[in-house]
Amino acid sequence: MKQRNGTWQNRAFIVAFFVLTWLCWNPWGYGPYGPVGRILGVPYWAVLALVWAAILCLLEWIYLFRTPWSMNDEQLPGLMAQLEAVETEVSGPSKGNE
Amino acid sequence: MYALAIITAICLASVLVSYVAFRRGFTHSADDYFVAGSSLGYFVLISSLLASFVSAFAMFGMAGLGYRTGFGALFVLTVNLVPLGFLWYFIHRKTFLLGKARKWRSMGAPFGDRYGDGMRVMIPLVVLVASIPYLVAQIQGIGVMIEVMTENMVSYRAGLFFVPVFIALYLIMGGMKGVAWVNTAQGLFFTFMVFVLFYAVMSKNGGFVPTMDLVYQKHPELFQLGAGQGRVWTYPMLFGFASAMCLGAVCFPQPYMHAYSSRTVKGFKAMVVAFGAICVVVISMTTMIGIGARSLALAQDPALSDVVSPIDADKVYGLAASETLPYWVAALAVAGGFTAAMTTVNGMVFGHATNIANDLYRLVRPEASARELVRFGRLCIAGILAVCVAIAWNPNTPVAELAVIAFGISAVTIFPLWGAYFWKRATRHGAIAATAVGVGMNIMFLGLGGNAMVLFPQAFLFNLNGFLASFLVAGVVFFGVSLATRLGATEQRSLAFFFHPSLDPGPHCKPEQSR
Repeated sequence: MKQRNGTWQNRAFIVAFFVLTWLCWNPWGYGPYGPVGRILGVPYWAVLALVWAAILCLLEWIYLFRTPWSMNDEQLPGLMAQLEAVETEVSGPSKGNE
Repeated sequence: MYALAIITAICLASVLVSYVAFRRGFTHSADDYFVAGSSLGYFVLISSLLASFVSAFAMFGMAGLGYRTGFGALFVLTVNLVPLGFLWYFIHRKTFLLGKARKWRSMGAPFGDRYGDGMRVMIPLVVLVASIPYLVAQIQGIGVMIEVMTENMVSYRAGLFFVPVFIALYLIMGGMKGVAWVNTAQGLFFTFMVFVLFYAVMSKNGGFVPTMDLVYQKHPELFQLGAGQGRVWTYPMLFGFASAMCLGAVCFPQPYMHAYSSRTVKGFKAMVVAFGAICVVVISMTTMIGIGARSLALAQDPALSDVVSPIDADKVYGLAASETLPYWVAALAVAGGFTAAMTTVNGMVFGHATNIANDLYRLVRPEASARELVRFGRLCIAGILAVCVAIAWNPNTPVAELAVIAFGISAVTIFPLWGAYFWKRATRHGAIAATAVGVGMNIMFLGLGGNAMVLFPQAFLFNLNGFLASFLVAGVVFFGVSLATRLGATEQRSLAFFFHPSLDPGPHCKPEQSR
């Protein structure tokens, strides 16, 4: 199981998320200051930023809905049962906001 | 008169929606009232989360910022928020799961269970104090909008009473379910009106590309990075804005409230991934409405040509609507901005009331019944709104200056939050010290140099802005102090459930099930 969790595809997603976050936060490499070309009226660097954002959004959607590494509804009842069991064992009834 | 009728209709419709939630019995227990009985579906979750974040600033402010500074404004509230999809998922996955298992309802609950009562009290208080100016700015905006829209028929101060009374009424009645439904209805309305205004502004000069060509001929600097001889939208400036807004959004009350309220995993995932995408579409449009407005007749006004003050630029959204739409549609477009301010107030006030009731009041009165908690939560809603109206009484109170620190201060709590979920060595001493130092530094920078020192790169801070410097120092303090101190009994006990193997994404994943 650990092997599956650590697959290179999973790590590739995480690396891609951070690289794309960097590009969405900071347009280094988008070109020099000053006049720039435009695509459909929008400056080249702004189009590039929107493209990075679109790719990141698509990757996030794929990761969350089309890969085995994110949680899903089928697992929820089992997870809740395990978590509630450990609370009763270790700490008594949950404190939380009950 | 027409504008007053629109505002009154919006308020009455919101109260009606909330009343339906109340009548259908969605506010009986504390769980129902504070977290909607964890029953919200993904459509309401997405709409409500979006609406509670999109404020008057995202409408009027972003149009004004686009008008003044051009396309660099896209890094303030649009492309920079897309990473929230995975940041919220990874960080708040445990908020969602443990929240369900441990019946959490408030922001302080995870901190309290992990670090003890010190952090349970500190976190809601820090976020409350940081966001009061932000809330007051929304209420001031509502007062000003009502005065302008009704052409002084309703004064600023009468407007301050008029709308918050309605807000208090529907928040008190409908609870989280009512908040989510009202936010959804108001969010759909203002999103639709942004589309209408975008289309109208771009159509005025023959479409999007011809409009941008016209603007480019007159103001090529709006299309540049480092314009104004390297003063506007430099790389460090963009990074400072983009990261502050995004990291601050991770730690606001809204993602906690909506994680607790989600019925399904699918709803939670859809909410986090859709938020950034919708922000890119909707807020890019408001920004480009501002840029496109440079091609309209309003740009000939002396106050709106060449160097434009932020206050004058905030009027661009309404002026563009007046110039490009029939009167009654223009009034609806401006009312869209008005509802954006209302939804932010809804989300923030309800979140804070939930935190005060469940984190602070329960600490003082642990024996409080569910009915008593709900009653106290309702009192808190009225109290918070009353305080905000009192501060907003003078329209010249400079809260907008302070509003920017809400995101910066909230962001420093990301280290204790991350440590609670992912680092077994995190201690309460580290969490408290990091929060205190991060908040203190933000306040110090604001006191020394105002907004500029918090938001703009400073040479003496190695070209970081005050927010990023505070953020990094808070991180160093968190790790340093945690490593230097021992885990207390609360931290030791909390490891059993915060790091339970079932929470590890690996062991319980079954690829064949998730497809």
